[in-house]
Amino acid sequence: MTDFKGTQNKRFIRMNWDLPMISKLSAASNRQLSYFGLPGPEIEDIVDWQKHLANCTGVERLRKESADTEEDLQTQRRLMTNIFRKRIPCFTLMRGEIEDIILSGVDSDNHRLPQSIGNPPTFSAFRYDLVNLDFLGGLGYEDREGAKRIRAIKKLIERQKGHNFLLLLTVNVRDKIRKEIVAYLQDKEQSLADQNLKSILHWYGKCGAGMKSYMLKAAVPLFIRAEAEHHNFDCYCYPPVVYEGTESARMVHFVFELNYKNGIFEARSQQPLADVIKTVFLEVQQAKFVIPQQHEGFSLHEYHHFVKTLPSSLSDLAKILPTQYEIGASA
Amino acid sequence: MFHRSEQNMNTDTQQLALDFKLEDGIFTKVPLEDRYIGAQVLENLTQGQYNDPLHCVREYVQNGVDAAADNIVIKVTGNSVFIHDDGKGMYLPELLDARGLGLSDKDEDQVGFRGIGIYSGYSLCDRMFITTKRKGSRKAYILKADFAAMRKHRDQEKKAKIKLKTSLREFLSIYTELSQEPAEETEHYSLVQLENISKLHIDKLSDRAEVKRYILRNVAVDFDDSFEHRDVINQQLEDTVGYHAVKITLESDSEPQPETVCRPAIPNLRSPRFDDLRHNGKRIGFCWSCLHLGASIPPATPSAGETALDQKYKAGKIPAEYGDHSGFVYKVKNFTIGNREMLQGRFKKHGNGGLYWWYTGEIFVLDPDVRPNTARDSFEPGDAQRQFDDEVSKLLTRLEVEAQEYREKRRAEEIVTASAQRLAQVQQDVSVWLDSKAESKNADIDTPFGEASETSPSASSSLDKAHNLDTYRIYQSLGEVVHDLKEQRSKATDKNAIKDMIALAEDLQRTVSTNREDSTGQAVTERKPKPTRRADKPVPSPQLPLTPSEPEKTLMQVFDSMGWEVSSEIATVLQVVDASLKGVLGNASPLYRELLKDIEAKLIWQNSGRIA
Repeated sequence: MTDFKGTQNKRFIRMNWDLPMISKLSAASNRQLSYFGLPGPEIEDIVDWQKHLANCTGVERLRKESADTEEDLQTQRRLMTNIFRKRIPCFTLMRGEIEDIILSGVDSDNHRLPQSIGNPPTFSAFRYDLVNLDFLGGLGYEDREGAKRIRAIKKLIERQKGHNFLLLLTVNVRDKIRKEIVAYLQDKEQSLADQNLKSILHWYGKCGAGMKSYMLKAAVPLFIRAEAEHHNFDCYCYPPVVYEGTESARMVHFVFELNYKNGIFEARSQQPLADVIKTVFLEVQQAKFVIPQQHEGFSLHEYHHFVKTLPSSLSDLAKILPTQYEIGASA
Repeated sequence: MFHRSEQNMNTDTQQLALDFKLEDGIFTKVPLEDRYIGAQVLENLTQGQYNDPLHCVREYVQNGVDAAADNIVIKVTGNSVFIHDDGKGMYLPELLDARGLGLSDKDEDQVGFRGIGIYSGYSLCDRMFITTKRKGSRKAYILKADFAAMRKHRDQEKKAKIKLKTSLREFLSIYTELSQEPAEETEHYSLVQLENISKLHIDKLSDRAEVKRYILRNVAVDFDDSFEHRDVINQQLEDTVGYHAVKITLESDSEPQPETVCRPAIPNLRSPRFDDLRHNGKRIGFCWSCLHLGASIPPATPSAGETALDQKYKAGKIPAEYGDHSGFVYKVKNFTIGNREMLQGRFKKHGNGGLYWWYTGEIFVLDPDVRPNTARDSFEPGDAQRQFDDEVSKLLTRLEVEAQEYREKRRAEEIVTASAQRLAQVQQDVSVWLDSKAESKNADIDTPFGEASETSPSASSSLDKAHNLDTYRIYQSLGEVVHDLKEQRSKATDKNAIKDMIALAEDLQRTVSTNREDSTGQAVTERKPKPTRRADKPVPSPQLPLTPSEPEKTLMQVFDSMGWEVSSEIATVLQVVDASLKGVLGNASPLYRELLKDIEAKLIWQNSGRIA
């Protein structure tokens, strides 16, 4: 990942949206959590969530071209310096592209992840409680085998089979798989019987050029849920959040709770599919939650119901969520 | 080195002589240019010293100690090693100075004084980064040294035949770089990164047990917080030698859970003793030591089913689990010289030096003229070193005597306690025996010794009790108790108690002797002589060894006199064997004495073989 400073909005999400959920998981597990992700040289997420973290596996890329290599090595050096400065114990640095590491089970130094079990590494299982994937470059480009990041996310869920975890996914709206996302939404639309839901998905699929975030808002939760259920996870999708990140990049942030269910067939998530499709699309502007433009037929009433029924462990969250539309706001 | 033609050489010689204004018979100073000191010096200095990655890491750790760090973290992750300390950090001029060779401004009491410290990683890694931050500064400064490029450059130079080799100054200028980055004003630290280390070395550095062992032996590691004497020893060392103990934490990818390395809290140590080593009034060394007292002396009343002798004798030698900390080791300030085995030979007054391992301690070298050798496994020879060595020998001899005195006293106490327990048991047995005899008398039973009677159950049981007392063995046992108590009388603390016990034992002997029965079941003292007839032979008087004659030596004494140091467990075994021999062969029998003499002769032979 290129070096960048966290923005005010990102920090707000980290502290006010992610942290309560992380805290909830830690309390439910009665222990600190193991983290896997892309912390960046400033390790802001690790520092902010340190209280709940037992051990961390952080990934930094290592490009092959010498000028790039040197830049990456300096980034890694800064990251490690911050690890020591902030007194973060039990941190392991893995070098390489995170997609490759997830797919192969080892990094570019042929080291396997500390929380991986089983041999060979290609088939190893992961046992992380918290996975934080921050894809600055979006969901990526399509290659011969499909988009590598999409494959990596699928593989991650597969490797985590048997272990409950919280998946935080942040993607840049800029990617090169728009066509595939549209096609995916169309497929999903076709598969539904409920006309209302069909029309909502249709709306998302038709979002224009400046509304890519909406397409992601609809597609990513459906994709994650499907993959999760395929691997016997009950998947709960929190409302996606859009914000402006570094260099005015539009980023969409997703949080998924995946709870493993033993069984011979695929799991069925308790959260109704309708809730996933109809959920609110939140936005963070200047370190504040707002409700931007929503899909056609969006029900503020259902949104209020969602806020009211948040578990008590997330009661602080309910206090900062907005109650009304921000007139004129657009994701 | 500089290949020129003969003619050019002649011309240059004449020119140089003019330049330097050389005159016949007069010496003139001639400045040395940079080009005369080549980069090979760096290889020569570092080669052989830092082949082991642990030695290399140690140097950087030592820099942290010298920077007054309280905590140092050694982290192995990926293909890098990081050494982080929370010491005072460096200002930029200090970091620049660190690039120099042989220019250390460290006091001679700081161990990295040889001035090659930051280049320790030259052979180990491809690049070294030192990031350092001084409190009050708003910048952290980073020094980068590209060792891989240096080595490549040197390899190329070695192949070159004519080319002028790079001077050391130029070499270091090319391959070291500086940078800075913003930092928090209040922070202070230094972080060394050794980047791209071979897998072989990474594996060694990831071997937690080995690193821990190495750290404990070679760095000023603090004691465990629970160590009873931690504060007093640390304070004394800080006041006397300026010793600064540090906590070291190890982390690695293979064992992510951090582990803090500290010196263990060895239990049952006597309060520390502190000794100055002086020569001609000048203090040249300092020693702290603790004698291991072992487990507490067995209680007077043994637990059920157990006698004092059954209890494991744990006194003396420091338990095996703390073996790495037993004995003595040399320290030059924070740094260990050699190992703990090298001083064992100084304990020779009382046998084979086993008492040496009853101690834990350190001997600090304070004389700056006593210098460690390059390998830091001994000292450079010289007058100062010999004087220091003499004082160390004298000190260790005193400590050996002290340990021996303690050992004898402790053995005496244990024997006395065991004897007391035996005596109590015998006293009880004799009392029961006497009571049963009184009962059987009242029942007017006259049965041969060993035969069951056909009388009442109570009378039967009385007979059984009388039956079960082996008076001969009891008598023997009491004799041994008396012997042991007399032997230990001078070394034990409570001499009056021993005197009383001896009196009681002898009294019990008389009681047993007086009241014992012969084979007819009749008390020897009550037997009336049969009327004699002319043809009858006189009845010989009973052969009762009222007071057994003492053999010249006991089995234990034979070993003692041969200078064999016997552990507590072996001592117990020897006592049991001795008691059996006496019981079977007879305490004063010629066979018993012959056996002891044979054992003694064999030990003499064994000793002479060992001395040779």
